Amino acid sequence: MKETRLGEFEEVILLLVGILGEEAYAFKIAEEFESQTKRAVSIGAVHSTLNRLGDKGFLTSEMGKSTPERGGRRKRIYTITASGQRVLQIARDFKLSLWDQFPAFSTGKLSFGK
Amino acid sequence: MKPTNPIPPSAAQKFLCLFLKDDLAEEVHGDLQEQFHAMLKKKSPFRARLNYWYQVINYVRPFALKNYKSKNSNYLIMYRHHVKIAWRNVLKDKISFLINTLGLALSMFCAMLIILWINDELSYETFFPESDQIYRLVQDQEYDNGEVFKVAANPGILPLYINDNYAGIKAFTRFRPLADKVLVEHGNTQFYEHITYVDSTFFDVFQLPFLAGNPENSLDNPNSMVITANTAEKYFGKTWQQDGILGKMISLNTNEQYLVAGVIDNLPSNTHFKFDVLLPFRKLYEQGWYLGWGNNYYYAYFLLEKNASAAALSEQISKFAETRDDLTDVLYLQALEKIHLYSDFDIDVYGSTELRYPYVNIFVIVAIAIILIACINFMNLSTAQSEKRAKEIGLRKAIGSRRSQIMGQLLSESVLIAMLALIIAWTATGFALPYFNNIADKSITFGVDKWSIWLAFVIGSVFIGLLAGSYPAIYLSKFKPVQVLKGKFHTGGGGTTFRRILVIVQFAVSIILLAGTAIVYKQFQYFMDKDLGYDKDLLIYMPARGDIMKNYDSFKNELLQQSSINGVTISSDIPTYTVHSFGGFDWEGKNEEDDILLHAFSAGFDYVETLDLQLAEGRSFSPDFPADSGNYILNETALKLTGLTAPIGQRFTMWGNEGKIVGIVKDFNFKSLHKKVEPLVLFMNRNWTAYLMVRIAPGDTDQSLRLVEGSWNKANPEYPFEYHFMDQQYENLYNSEKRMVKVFDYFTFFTLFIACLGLIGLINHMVEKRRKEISIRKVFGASISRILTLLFREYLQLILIAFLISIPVTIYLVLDWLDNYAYRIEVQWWMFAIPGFLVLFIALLLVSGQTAKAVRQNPVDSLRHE
Repeated sequence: MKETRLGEFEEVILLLVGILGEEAYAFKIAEEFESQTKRAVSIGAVHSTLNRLGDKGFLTSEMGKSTPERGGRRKRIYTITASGQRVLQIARDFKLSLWDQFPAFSTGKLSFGK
Repeated sequence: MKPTNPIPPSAAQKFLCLFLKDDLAEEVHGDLQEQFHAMLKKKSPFRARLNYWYQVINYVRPFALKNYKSKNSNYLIMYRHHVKIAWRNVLKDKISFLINTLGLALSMFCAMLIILWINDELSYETFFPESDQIYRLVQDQEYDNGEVFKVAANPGILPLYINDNYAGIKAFTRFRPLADKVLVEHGNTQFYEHITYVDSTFFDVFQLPFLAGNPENSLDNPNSMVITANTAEKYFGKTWQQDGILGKMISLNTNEQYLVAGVIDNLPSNTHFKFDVLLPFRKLYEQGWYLGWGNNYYYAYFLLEKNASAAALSEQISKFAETRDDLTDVLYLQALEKIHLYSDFDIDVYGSTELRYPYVNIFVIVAIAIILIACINFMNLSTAQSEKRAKEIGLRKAIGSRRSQIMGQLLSESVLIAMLALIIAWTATGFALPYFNNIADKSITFGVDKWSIWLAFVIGSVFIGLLAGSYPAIYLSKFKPVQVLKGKFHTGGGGTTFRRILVIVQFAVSIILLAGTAIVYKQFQYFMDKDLGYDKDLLIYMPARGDIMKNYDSFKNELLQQSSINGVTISSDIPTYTVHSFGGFDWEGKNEEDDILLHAFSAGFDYVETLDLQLAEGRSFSPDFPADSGNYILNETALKLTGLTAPIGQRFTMWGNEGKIVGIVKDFNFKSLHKKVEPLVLFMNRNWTAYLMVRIAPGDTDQSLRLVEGSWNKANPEYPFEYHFMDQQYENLYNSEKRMVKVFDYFTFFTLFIACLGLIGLINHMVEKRRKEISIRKVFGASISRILTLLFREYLQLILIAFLISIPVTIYLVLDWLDNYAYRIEVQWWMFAIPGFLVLFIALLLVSGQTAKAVRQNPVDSLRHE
């Protein structure tokens, strides 16, 4: 029995994988996380989460190309699976519905860009 | 300077390879390297490397580890389960847990400090290379009046003779510190320093590291000088090493010039040597010191060959000594490493020495006692704790746990607590060490270089944990589950008896330590307060330096005109530091054959008056009698020795100088109170003067000191004024006692505290077991005070037994210690009564506090389960 809920950090990482597309590998994701959130994170922590998301079936990965600054080593590129997309969708919908129920912030007063 | 192409730290990479799963290696190494290069663009290479380490350490996560088994491993689940259960037990009975852990931690803390202290005491001189091959030559002089006078010094020529005539000696050196400090100057910097003369072979024997110069030839030139790093810094500033120090000039006594030829590292504190300035020994020849036979002035150290036997060499030397009249018969070699603990010489390198190993023995006993008490307490409380868990164990067995598993669980719990206590004790030791060093006058460190002690502590704690856990583990795992679960489990009466005995032992030890502390303190107080036969208060002395003796008469006359100065005199010795004792005396009626040892001090006019000595007969030296410069004053003990009945006016001869006895002074303690007053002769010889003594009148001491300083500066302008108070010097004689009092204060407190913790444990246990009994008694109408009395009686018995045991043990130990002193206090009843009552009082306080809750509670609460 695998757990299929999404934690906050997991959600962000999953989104970042989607955003980075072809460039979604552990170092880049960690770097992007830091620049977007201004929070420090270690590559190990990101890698561990990616691994967990893989176990839950939200991500797949395969080895990609190598570059000179990596000492000629290949990188592992992650991509979101269908169930990954679904779980993101569910998370978003759930939160939006919560926002809508909160009278002070209900739609119309706050814009979510859409 | 920037490295051209920085690379990630290789140690970190190796570390990463060590734990990282092979199939992750490529991507992780790649990511980290990319990160490293990205960092390099923004930050310094150092920061980048630091970050690399940070990233590597952050990869120590379960998913990335090699050999990481699935989370569903049985072992892991059981392990987690055990931790969880252990934690629940802690929460269920926080008080017991705290008592247990803190009690153990506190005893470990005490034991650690004591072990570090003992280790330091035993480590003396071991930092010298080949320290086990170094010996020094010492002698026991036996006199015809039965006195044995132990001297660590020898004739200057003897070491040369030994080196030339016996095999097995690799190197030797003579060593002679000057008794008084010498004025050392460089530029405007001037201080009084202790200086020491050594042979140029000194560094062959004591292979000390050189920071400048070299050990081979640094003392070859008669005007060369070797100093320690501290001294170099003192005279040449912090940058002496860069400035180049070799060949710089230092002057001694304002007119002798020396060149710095070497700088050695500072000596560690665990050596009997204290020197900052070394001068070549041959300087002493030049200065006309007597280096022939018959004069014991010089210390000699020998480095023996690896296979040479010190005992055999000792024997050869003493055989040789028998052939000579001017050598004492008992000459022998003392091992360098034994000097600190096993020296009791009347004349040693820096004054007289006392045996120190008894102190080490005492502390070994105290450490063992503390550790023992801690173990007992720990075992005690663990057993009491685990008995509460009988049902848990029964259930475990019922669902298939093996006995070995239960034992393993209980043992690992107690080992964990022991380790926790160790960590607490360790931290506490780290914090307390500076204070401890201060009290004990040590500079003990507890760094990584003491890894063997660290390891011993860890192994010791594991052992304590196993030992303490073994009884409950074996005992509890034995029970049949059916019986336990039916509630028929009863703790044996034997366990209680055992526990009672333990409490008795603990309290006996506490009372012994308390009484011991009181007695040691009393003895110290006695030293401070005893009437010494001279008045040590308001008496100052100054080492005679420079030209002071040339202008002594004007110095004295000027001072005596002041109403605040009561006396001025000179002497070769001061009552707290005496070095002159000789044979070679003669008097009317003396057996010609006997050689008898007497102390002999030179004394100036007014000696008796300035020191405030009492005359038993006759008079003191006086300028009115010109013949007094050849006359003598004896003390009562010396008079007894001579057997003269009417001494005044009798003939007395010292080294062929015949004179008359003009006075007899009452005995005064011119040595520490460890020893009885010894025979003493006072004679007059200004050339022997080493000290000036001034008695100041009560009143404004500072004003009087300024007067003395003014007169000193007039009589002896080149040498800065330095003075000491006699009473302070006197107190310093008893530093080891003083320190012992302080250290014992703390350890006694801790021991009592630990014993109280033990008592709390026992009371809790007993009250728990008798809860029903107490409730039933209450139901039947017993008053609270009745029940308290009932419980008190039991503990009162224990403490009385402890008290009775402690008295003879304390008396035995204390008398043994007091026998070291010629002047000592008598052991009195109150010295036991007060500690006994104190302990009783504390114990009763604890008992009432702990039982009150159980007694006050509603009987229904404890009876309704039946």
